[in-house]
Amino acid sequence: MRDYIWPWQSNVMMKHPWALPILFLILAVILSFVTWFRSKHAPQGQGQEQQ
Amino acid sequence: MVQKIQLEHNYDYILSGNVTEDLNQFKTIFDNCIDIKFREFDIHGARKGALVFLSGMVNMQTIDFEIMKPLIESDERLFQESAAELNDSDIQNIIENRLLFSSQLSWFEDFPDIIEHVLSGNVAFLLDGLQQVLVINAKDWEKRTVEEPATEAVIRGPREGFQETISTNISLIRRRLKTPQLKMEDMKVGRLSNTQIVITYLEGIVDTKLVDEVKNRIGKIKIDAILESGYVEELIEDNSFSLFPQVLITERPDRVVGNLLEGKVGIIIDNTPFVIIVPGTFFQLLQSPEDYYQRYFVASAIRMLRFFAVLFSLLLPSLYIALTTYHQEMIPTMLLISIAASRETVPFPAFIEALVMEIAFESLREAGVRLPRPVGQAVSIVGGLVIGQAAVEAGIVSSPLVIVVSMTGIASFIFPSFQLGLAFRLLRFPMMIAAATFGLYGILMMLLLLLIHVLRLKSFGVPYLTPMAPLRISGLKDVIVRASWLKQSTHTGELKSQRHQNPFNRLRQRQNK
Amino acid sequence: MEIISRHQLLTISIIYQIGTTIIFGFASGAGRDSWLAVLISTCLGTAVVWIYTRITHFNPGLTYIECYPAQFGKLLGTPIAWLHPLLFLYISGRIVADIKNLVPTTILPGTPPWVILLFFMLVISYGLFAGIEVMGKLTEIILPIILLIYLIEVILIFSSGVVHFDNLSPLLDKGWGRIWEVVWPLGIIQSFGESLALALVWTLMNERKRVGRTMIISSLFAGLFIAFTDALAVAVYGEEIFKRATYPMYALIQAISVSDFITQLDATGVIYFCFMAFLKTYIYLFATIRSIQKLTYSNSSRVFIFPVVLIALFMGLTMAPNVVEHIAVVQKVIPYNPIYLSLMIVFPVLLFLVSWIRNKSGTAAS
Repeated sequence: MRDYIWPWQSNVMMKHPWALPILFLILAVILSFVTWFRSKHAPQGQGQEQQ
Repeated sequence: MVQKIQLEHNYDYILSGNVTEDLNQFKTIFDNCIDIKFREFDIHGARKGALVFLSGMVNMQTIDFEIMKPLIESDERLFQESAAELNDSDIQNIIENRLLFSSQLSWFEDFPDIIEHVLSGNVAFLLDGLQQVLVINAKDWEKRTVEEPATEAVIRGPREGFQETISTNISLIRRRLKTPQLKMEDMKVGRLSNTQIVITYLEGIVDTKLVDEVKNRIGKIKIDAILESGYVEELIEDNSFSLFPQVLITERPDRVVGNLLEGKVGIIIDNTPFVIIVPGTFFQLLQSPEDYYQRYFVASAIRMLRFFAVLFSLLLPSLYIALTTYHQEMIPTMLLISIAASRETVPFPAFIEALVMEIAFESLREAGVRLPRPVGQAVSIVGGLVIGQAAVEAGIVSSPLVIVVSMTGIASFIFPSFQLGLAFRLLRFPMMIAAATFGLYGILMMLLLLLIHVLRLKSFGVPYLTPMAPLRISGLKDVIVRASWLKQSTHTGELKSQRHQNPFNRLRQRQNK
Repeated sequence: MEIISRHQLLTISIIYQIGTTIIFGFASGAGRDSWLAVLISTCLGTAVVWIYTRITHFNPGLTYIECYPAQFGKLLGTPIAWLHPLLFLYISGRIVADIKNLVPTTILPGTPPWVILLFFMLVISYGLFAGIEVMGKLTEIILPIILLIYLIEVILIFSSGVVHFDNLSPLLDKGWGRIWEVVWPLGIIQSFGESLALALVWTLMNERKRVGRTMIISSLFAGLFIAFTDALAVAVYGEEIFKRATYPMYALIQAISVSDFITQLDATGVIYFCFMAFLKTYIYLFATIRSIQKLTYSNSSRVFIFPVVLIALFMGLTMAPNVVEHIAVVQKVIPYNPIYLSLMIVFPVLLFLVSWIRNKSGTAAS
């Protein structure tokens, strides 16, 4: 069980290879909320970085 | 427009026209200054006048023969020409055109201006009844002769160096560029020193934004006194915290003129022979004007030698430490055996050994600077050899190390720019520490750190490592080798925008179209 | 806004794509046909990189990361976008672990690994702080030096008399099977899928139109470079040793022995590797920071430098206790890991198709 805390370690990657993808997915969803919260800070010129 | 002098107190005095009163004002201000002299006179009993001047800074002959003599020998009737009262401009006219012999005179009525001129070595001529004062140029003082610059000797090339008097320096530049495009603008900096600073550039070649930026930065300087160009350098540099100088300092007029032709700006400062040239980039600091006077093959070879010297002066001791401590297997076996044999008696690890020798060498070098010239050179060289030899025999250092340290020292003397040499001398030490702790890996990381730092530097907007990064192939012609004059880029005067792309295109060759 | 020039992008990409494969190689499974495997991977990989560049082309003004929410909608696109910085962070942790396993074992045996890595991360942080413009200039200066050193190495190898070209033949006697094993998915992912991180840099280039061309040139060059090195390694060592070597390219340098004078230059190989790793880690961390900055709509990226570097350092330190396990992960786990595959191949292809279709209908309508 403790392995799941360190899913990037090589031994964990060999034994439970799906641990890292699951961690990433969970983090991605959580961080998407951060994006949603911060979307008010989106500058008007968003996307006009390089023309 | 001449920048106003910044005086400590506000002299709000308005000239009254009464000589005695005005003179009293002068005397109060210059109280306890025994070098200010006052010469009161009257012209044929009709009018009173006075001269105010600094005795150490004026030419007495000028005062005696060009001012006092004509005054006293003047025609009695000069001021009695017409029955009506002569008005001020008439009197001024008479004095300028019929009385005095000087070639440079002007009238001032602003009291601080007059003080400034007196302090600069001019003579103030007061006349009763006039509310303006005539300032006559009579400057003359003891100065050094024009001689070869001490820090930048060349084998081939002119042997004139700048001096402490700014007018001489200006003329040294002017003689080499006889064109009205050569501009000289002046500014005054320093609350108490009121040092004159002249900004010089070639109109039409220089980027006017650069000139404005220079004037802007100098104008912002708030300091009591400017004693040397180093003060100005530190105050206008982009990043004075870095070890690397971002301006070029030189004592040679030909070097200044060469750089002016490339569109740079020169800053001449009174009382110091060291002229600042901006912007300064790394590769400019590695060039010597002699490169252009020698044959181009020779010059190119010497340039390449200089590059190796740069690397050596930085890396040689560190490589020695890294290889002997961590990577002995990389040294060829025979060499390894002899190094090991000579290091057998040494009680210290390579790092301490190298550190001790380097510090000793640096101390010798610093000491050599302070000793009188003939003695100094001998002491540095002999001291180095003798101490090195004695140290080897005492078993404190090993002989390969003495070789390493002396080669490093010699390499660091090859730098044409003293300041850059200093920077590399200092950088050697962190490099040695990195080598001692992490071996070759440490050297790599330290080099990367250094490179990142140098790449961040800009001098007045120009990246420090131009033309190598950002890469401009045309500029490289002049960096790695010195291409012959035939192959140097041509310059068409109107392409100022292009010049901003290639800031340092060699402009000296114009092909006749 | 920082701008890098086309030439700087080229040098960054070349060094990045040659990167760490120069030491590890991915094609050792293919034995003496490894160079062929590399060439095939190069062709396919270049196509993949081209797809990446087209995506940025179809979404003008947006960084690669922002294309996902833009094209797939915020609900689906944002989590997918967030997967990228996480992946990049993991990969940079891997490279840090590479160094941890290589440097102490080869050139600095007495030094504790965390100190070595700490120094490494310090220099990286300074570079991140300085910005990508500075890194572009750095690679501009260093690429010629790298190539020069490589050339000298090759000359020295030939002068050591250890090169036996007959090791390279017979060609393909074991069939195409093992070549395909290596090419898909490992070959494409290793050098070219990883160029995904470079996508965050593309929007900073001054001539946007030439990005595709620049990347193609750089990918082809890097591929040829690696293929040549692989072939050389086989020529020197023969197939069996090559397949078993932990660091095949590093072994090449160990082979240099010119008349007993210039021998044992292992350390140079390690230094070479350290620099490549430095740049790769830098780009990955830069991509991570930039992605996070874009996804959180922050104005400055500097605030993220410290935490990101710290996480990468921590991951690298704890990732693998020894090099064998570390490489085993690369060989066995990563090719089948859904994250790599999806982010580097599946999603980009989808994104490409969607952007292309939208772009077409957009221009048709307007």
